[in-house]
Amino acid sequence: MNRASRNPTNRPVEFAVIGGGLVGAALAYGLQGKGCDVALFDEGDTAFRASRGNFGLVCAQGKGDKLEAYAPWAREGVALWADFAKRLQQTTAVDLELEQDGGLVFCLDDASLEARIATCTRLKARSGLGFDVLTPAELARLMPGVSANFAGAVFSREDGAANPLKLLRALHTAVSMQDGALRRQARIERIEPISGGYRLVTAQGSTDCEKVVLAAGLGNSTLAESLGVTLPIKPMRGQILVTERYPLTLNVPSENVRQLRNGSFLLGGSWEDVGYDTGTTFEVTQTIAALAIRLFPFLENVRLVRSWGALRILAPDNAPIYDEIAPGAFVVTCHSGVSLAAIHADRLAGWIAQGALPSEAAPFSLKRFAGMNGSAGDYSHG
Amino acid sequence: MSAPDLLIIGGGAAGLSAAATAQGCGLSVDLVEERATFGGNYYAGAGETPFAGAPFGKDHAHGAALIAAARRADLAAETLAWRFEPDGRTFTLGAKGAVRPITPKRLLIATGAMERPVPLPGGLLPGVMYAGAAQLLMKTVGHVPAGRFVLVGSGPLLLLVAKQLLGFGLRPEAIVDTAARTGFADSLRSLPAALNAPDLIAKGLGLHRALRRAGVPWHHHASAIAIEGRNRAEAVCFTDAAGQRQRITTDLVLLHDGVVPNDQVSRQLACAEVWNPAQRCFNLVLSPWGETSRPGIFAAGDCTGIWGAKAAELSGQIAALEIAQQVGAMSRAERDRRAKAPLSALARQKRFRPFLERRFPPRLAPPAKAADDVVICRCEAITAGEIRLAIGQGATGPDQLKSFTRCGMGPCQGRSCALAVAEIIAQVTGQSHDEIGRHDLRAPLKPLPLGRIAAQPMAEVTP
Repeated sequence: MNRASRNPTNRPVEFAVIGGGLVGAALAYGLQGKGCDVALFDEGDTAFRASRGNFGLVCAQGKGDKLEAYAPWAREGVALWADFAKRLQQTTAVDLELEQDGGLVFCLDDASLEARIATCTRLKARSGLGFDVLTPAELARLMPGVSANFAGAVFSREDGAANPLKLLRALHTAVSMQDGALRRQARIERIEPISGGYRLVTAQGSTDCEKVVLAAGLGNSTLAESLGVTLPIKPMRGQILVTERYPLTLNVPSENVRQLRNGSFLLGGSWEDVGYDTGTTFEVTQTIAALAIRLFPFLENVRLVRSWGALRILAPDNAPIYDEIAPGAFVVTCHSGVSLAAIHADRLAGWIAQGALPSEAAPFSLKRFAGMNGSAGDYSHG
Repeated sequence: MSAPDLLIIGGGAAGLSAAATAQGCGLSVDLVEERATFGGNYYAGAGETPFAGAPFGKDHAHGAALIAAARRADLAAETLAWRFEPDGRTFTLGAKGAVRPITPKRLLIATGAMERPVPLPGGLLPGVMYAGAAQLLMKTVGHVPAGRFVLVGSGPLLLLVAKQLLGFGLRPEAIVDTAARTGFADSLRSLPAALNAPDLIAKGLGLHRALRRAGVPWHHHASAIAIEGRNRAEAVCFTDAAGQRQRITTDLVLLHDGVVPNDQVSRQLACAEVWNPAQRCFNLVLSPWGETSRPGIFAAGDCTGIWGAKAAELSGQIAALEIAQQVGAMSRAERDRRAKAPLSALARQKRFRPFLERRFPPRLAPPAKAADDVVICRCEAITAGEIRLAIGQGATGPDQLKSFTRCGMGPCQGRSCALAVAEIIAQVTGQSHDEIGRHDLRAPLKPLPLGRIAAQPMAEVTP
């Protein structure tokens, strides 16, 4: 390892991306692919790092519930994934474990199933994303081991999952192939406008750039504040349980249960409004375990190995925020860093490389929150 | 819900003495021990006598007395404490029962020591185990090695195990001793420390004499240890004091490179810790009474740093006195009066440690020098080479390294790899151990079936 890749250098760059999580790393990777001179600033080990607490779904179903323009964007994001994964794997030799054999949403009672069907029907009119409604008996034929203890499941064949940890590692590996592009242990303390761009100040020094992308997850709030802009985002905790390895059994993931290629099950689905607390609780651990066993009774004897909490980054309508908040200063915030990784590296990085967001990005701008009075809005599944 | 004055995690020397002391002060005390019997590692089997005439000496009787003195507290064996919250609330799981939350006024962590994991070529072959594990089998169920065996490493425990096995009529093929060459000057420098515990020095000299008298082949200053074998261990290879490569065929290899704190509980609670370069492990940051950086959460014994069984017993007493004072069962003056003797005895024990630390530094398999193909994380089979590659790709902290490689994500949660990982990161990046730290540790402390967790009365479930 050379020194340049270990220590932040102060060389000015064309594009500075703040935030080494999935969103920032995908954008930096995309900008590099478009020939831009990029530096990616990663806070390092102490960051909240939603990317490391991720379930890894690559899914479009249900996205756009409160902002319908998000529905086609999410669907396109999923469609771009296979090609994105192939190229990233070729570059880095990291297997992203992408599976696009469909994804499920379980509905426990008739009312929630009907509501889910209504949402998917409405969004299909906008995005064209098809879905099938399966009874427990129908699902049991596809998925041995599933119980009959739920009302139904909504299946989208375009959905799937990847390994989020490997995705992050692959993106970091790809970005760091350009010497000095990955600036580690570099927490940006503030952004100062200077002539022709911005100065990013870290504890170690500063770097000048022509354009800056704020992709620091929850850290974006403070960074945007330094440019005079308030972001309507807030954390929403999710707890995840991971089990010991088990023979490969589940071929289709859901938000509640998925099996990784190594055999471990990931169990999750909690949505908790608890501020910046990334801890876990016994009560939620118990609830997640009970729901997983309700859906897949054989899990009763599978052992829990670890649990963790991570913070989703939510806007009031659960959709991404893409905006240019000052000349040459872009903000990118979302809670679907895996599902949107491909479209961020491709389309969004393309817009930013050209220096301006087109009208297609307008639905995702901060303007949609105007007059919202800073209220938290109605946070729920997205 | 149970709400004792004091909950003690671990039924070894520190936990038992704390239980007896606190109970004697009028506190209600719960003690949970994961194993089936009490006594920890040092006094393992002291409560029972699996076979008469066992060669375990006076220590056994002292251990039995410690257990007897603690009996009036609520002792629960075969009970895993698997989840801890910063306020001391603890979730336990008994062998047959359900999950039980305990909300003590004070928590005392007394989880003892574990053997230093040694990443070694061939170290994962069947037929390789740690000497302390072999000693536990000997002390608790009376199992001893069958066939040829070799002891490899250094430290008092290695020699003690050799002597105890001789007591069963079993003679090692050899002792492959990795202890450093000590010159005259070193011995002189160690003398003041050694004089703090003349009984322990006498014990050590006795061990040496017994092993010499038995004529056990003893290879000193051995280095570059490797275990060879196709499907199981067949031989130990090493470079001897003369620089010659040696090979000893054997059926069983017993490794020992000293002990390190078994500190998973305090790590789950994120109690502050500091690197101890002489012990080459992290020590807990404690008040003189054993209170951790989290108010109300105490720790005693070897889980705080390696100070030995006698020190563990003393530190358990001292913590219990302060806890009694904090919950209002004892005045400060009374606490000070009763703590005076144990505090000075503890200080004496601690002054002795540098002698052992200098005499037996961990040299069996320094992780920073591990070859790239040596497995560091046993659960996930991650090699030193994969760790170095990931560090080069940006994982310069243990949490990022864990997410990049899965190192530390397995069932042991880094119990066997976290120290080695810190050593490798330090060597590659030049950071200090305190800067690096260790990865976050998650509940549960050890794996447990989902059904056991879900089988609680619970709130309505919504997806």
